This record gives sequence, structure tokens and C-alpha cells, in this order.
Amino acid sequence: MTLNRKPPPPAAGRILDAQLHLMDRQVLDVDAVPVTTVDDLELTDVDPNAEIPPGSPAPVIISLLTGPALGTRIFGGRPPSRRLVRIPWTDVSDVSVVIRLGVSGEHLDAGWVQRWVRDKIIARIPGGDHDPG
Amino acid sequence: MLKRQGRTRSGNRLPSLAALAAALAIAVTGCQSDPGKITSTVDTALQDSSSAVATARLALELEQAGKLTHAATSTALDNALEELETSRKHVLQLAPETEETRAQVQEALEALDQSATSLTTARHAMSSTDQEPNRQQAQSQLDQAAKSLEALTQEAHQ
Amino acid sequence: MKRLLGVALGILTAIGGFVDIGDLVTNAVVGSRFGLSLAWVVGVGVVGICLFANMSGRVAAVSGRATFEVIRERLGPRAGLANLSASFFINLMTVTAEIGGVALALQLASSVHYLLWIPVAAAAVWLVIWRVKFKIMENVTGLLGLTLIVFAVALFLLKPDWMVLAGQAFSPSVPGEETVSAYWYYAIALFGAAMTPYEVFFFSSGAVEEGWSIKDLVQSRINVLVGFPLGGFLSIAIAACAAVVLLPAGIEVTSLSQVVLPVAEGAGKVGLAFVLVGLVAATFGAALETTLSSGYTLAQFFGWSWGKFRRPAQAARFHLAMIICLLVGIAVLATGVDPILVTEYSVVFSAIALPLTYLPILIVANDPQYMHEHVNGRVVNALAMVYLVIILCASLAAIPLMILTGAGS
Repeated sequence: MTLNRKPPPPAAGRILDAQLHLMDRQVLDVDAVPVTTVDDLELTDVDPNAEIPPGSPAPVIISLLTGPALGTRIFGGRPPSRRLVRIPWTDVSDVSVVIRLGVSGEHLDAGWVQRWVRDKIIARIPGGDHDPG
Repeated sequence: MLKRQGRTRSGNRLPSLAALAAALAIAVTGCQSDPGKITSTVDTALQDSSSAVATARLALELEQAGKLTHAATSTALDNALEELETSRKHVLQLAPETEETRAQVQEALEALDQSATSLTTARHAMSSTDQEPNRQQAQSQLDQAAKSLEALTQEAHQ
Repeated sequence: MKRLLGVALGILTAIGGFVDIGDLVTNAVVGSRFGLSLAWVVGVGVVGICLFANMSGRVAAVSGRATFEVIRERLGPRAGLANLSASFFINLMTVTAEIGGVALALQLASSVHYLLWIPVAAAAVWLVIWRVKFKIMENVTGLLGLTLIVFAVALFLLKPDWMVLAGQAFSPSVPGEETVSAYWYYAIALFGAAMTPYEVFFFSSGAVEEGWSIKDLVQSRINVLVGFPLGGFLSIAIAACAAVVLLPAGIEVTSLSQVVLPVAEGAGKVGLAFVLVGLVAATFGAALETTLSSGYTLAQFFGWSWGKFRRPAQAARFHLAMIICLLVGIAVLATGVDPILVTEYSVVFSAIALPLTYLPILIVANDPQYMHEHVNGRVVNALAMVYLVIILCASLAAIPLMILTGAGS
């Protein structure tokens, strides 16, 4: 499945294969800190059973999904929409072998597990907040 | 949502499943006791025990030559004794049905007991503060035990 | 001059880092039962690990991507997860074996029972991972592990009949009292010990940790191509020591205390002191590498932030995962299971899992999207294909042989 990227950051109109270039790619935030992996994508609704009339607008990526979306992608099923952890496509600034965001990961929903583990466990162990060495 | 298609690799699972089934089959059939199994268990036990006794002899020899530290020697002796205990346990668990296998198991157990005693003497020699038992005594007991084990192994292979 | 020192240091670290509990135990067991008739396997394994460690280092330096990120991207989530489960399980087994190895080595030095050393060893591993810089960690354990060279020294002092040893090594045959299936079972175990997948996870993630660029590739290539073969030479020296002293005495290695006996015989208490330092350093270093590798594989699969170059708080899930792995290792060892047994199984399972690691690396090393003009050359690919066949054969034959031989007993 190919799709035109939207909204258009610098490389507008480049053709990407969602399967090959987006899915399972590492997502880095604006400071190059890993946030997550692209577990799935959320597209504008297309009815998979209906025939698509020619000339209708192509589906557009709304957001990158993570969290429970990985489980359902592996084992099947579909999580309820409110349980999806989304990174809005508008936050994406670049797509290459990694996907870069234009925002810090600190405030993204996708970072809550990292923040929870950090604040509840790791930062409480002495030395957890210091540079190594 | 996108689904990745044609990527499952179930073809790879078949050999591992087959191997698992084979493992189970062998594990199940291997549990039955028969004369062949008794002989092989006794054989393995004797072999492992002679290895353990030989280790103790070498360790004690090196210690006496001032080449091995006390800590390393005691550890080697401890390990040897553990190995012997394991072999003994395997032999004790056998259920011989015939006169011949009973005798075989009995003989093996005697040799294993003798080895265990000699190893204990060696450990006592290492830990004693009054030179009693001393290392020579331990060494000669170990030599004896090694001879008995050797004799039994030879017998089994004839 | 400084560059030369860097090269020397890298090589020395690679030698010291090559040997771990798996190599130590497997080589000694094999030496005590088969003499040097399996030395050729170490050679085959060393060439293989050089080939693939180099490849994964190159992938990491060129694309900045570590092995498991790539595995997931190429295999997709399902096969990737299956691969992760297998690799992670074997890695956890290796962590357990290495910590047990540290404890056994400390017991040899102190005669305090190894079970008491296990929490100490695990806590020390965690502390180093928590606080010590990657580079220092690598160099110190690698250099101290180099004292294992005493196995080679002891071999000379034992004055063996070199012709006999060479005969065993160069015209290998199955010794009379051993079966052919046991011979091949141990061939696979040795192969697995030399090519353990964690070395590749660690190598590629280490390249990212140290921020390698294409410039650093020459240095890494020298480290691998010189250091690993010398590490393999050390492995053979361990086997040779066992072949010279233990085999004639009828001793089959089942514990670490037997591994050091030949060194004591050849080089006395001084040799013993060196070998004890080497054992602790080599197993401790490997415990660090395997623990980090379990964190690396998990974090890279799920896209967590990872790395020792970050503060622990900035890689919270990565550090938590490693703490849990260490606790699991302690729990397993606390059941009293023999660490040597865990080691023996871990190397065979490593051999079984080899294709899972090496095939994706080979695929990506040929992918211009990641590698640009640094894709594999023809010679490397030809060699890699040969190895892929060997790896597949070893992987497929391992379980049947394990059943046939009762795990080599």
C-alpha cells in the first residue's frame, strides 16, 4: 500500500511504503531519544468491504499507534479506540530509517510507561538520576 | 489499520514440534527399567565416580606438592563428593529384578560407598588441625577406592 | 602513538572478552574427553563470529541501528516476537550461567560455598551496569580476563608431547571410548559457545553506545579479526590443558574446580592465582555483557530508550528490565541447580538459536537502504552463505543429538 505523506513536511510527495518504511520503525523525539516503535498506523476510515469509487480521496494517516496495538497486530483483534496510544502524524518531522518527531517525548501519551517506571522506581534508586561514571 | 501479510513462518515450527514429540517419546520409553538400563546406569555411575575419585587424588597430590591452595583443594574435594553422591543416588533408585542385576547393583554400591568414605577421609584430612587423619591415609584410601572402581568397570566390559 | 595504544587496547579487550563460562566449561569438558580432536570446531566458530560480529558492527556504525531493531523491522512483529522470546530466553540462561560462574570462581578462591557468592556477584554486576562507564567496564574486565593466558603458559610448562597434540588437532578422530553422536553433540556445543548470539547483540549495541561512525570501522575490524582468533587460541589452550592432564587421569570435567587443576599442575600457586583472577574477570565481564544484552534486545524490540551512555532515569524501562533479569537469575540459581549444567545447556541452545540472529543481520547487511555503499561484498556474502548452511545444520542437528546422547553424558 503506498500513500502520499500528509501534511507535507519538506519531502512532500515522496512515495513511501507504509509497510516497509513506517511499520516497526523506531520513533525518536526531537532530542533523538527513542520514544517507541511504530506498532501500527491509524488511517482515515475506509470501508474494507466496499468498492472504492474512482477519484475518491486516498486515505490519510492520522496517527502512529503504540502500546496495545502491538498485541492486537500480533494476535489479532482490534482494541477499543479509546485504548489506543496515539502519536499524531502532525508531530512527525522526518521519515528515514527512523521516524523523527518534531516534539519532545516527555509530554507524549506514548511515554507514560517510561515516565511511570522512571518516577516510581528508577529515579528513586540512588544514582538513578546521575550520569554514568 | 494495516496488517502484515504473508509473513508468518509456520514452516519453521514443524521441525521443532517433531523434535519435541520425539523427545517426549524417548523420555517416556526411557523411564522403564530393564536390565540394559540397569547396566548402563551402573556403568555411568562407576565411570563418573572414578572421575570424581581421580579428581580428588590429583587435587590432593597437587596440594601436597604445594601447587594448589587449600581453598581450591577443598572445593575440588567437595565437588567430587557431590558428584559421587549423585551417582550413588542414581544407582540406589534402580529396581533390579533378577539375581544377576541385584548382584551387579550391590557390588557397585559397595564400591561407591568405599569411594565416598575415602573422599570423606580426604576432606577430613584437609580440615583437621591435628594431622589425623593425615593426607597419606586419605591418599591411600583413595587409591584403594580407585582400584575397586576400576576392577568393577573392567568386569562390566568383559 | 595514541592510536596504536587504542588498537592494542581494543585487541587485548577482545581476547579477554572472547572467553566466557561457556567457552571455559565446554572447552575443558571437550579436552578432558576428546583431547584436541574437536579443536577444528573452535576454528570454524571463530571465523564465523569474526564474520558476523564484523557485519553487525558495520550495520550499527553505518545505519546507527542495533541488531534487534533491525530484526523487528525486517521480520515484522510476529516472527520478531518469536525470535525475541527465543533469544531472550537463551540470553537469560546465559546470564544465569555467568553469574553462577562468577560465584563458582569465587568459591575456588575462598572455599566459601558458591550459593553465598551469588547475591554478591549479581549485586556487583548491577552496580557496574548502574554506575560505571561503558568504556571502563569493557576495558577493565577485558584486560583482567587476559590473565587466562596462563592456560597457554601452563600448557608450555606441562611440557606435553606436541606431536601427539598436533596429531589430535589436525587429523581428528573420535576417541575409542566415546560415541560418534557424543562427538558431534560436543562439536555443536563448542560451536554454540564460540558463536553465542549475545556477542553479536552486545557488539552491535556497544557500537551504538560508543557512537561508532564509519571511521571507526577499521579499528573495530582489527579488534575483531585479531582479538577473536587469539581468544579462540586461548579456548584451545584450555582444551589442551585438559587433554594433557585430565584425559590421561580419567577425569571428565563436571565442575570448575577441575578446569583449574592442569594450571596448578603446570604453573603452581602463582598460575592458580592468575587463573582465578581470569576466571572471575571473564565470567564477570560476560555477566555484564549478557545482562546488558537482555536489556538491549527488549528495548530495541519495543523501541524503548536504552544505553549506558544515558542516565538510568532516561532509560528507565531498560534498567528495570535488567534488574528483573538479574533477580530471575538469582532465583534460578537459588534452587541449587548446577551452574555448570546451566552452562552446558545454554551453549547448545545458543547453537539452536543461531539462525534467528545471523540470518536477519545478513539480510540487512545487504540492504542499501540501511547500508548505502557499505553493503556486503561478494566474498563476505559467499562466506556468510557457507556459514548460514553450517549454522542451519548445527541448529537442526542439536536437539536430535541431545536426545540421542542424553545431553552428552
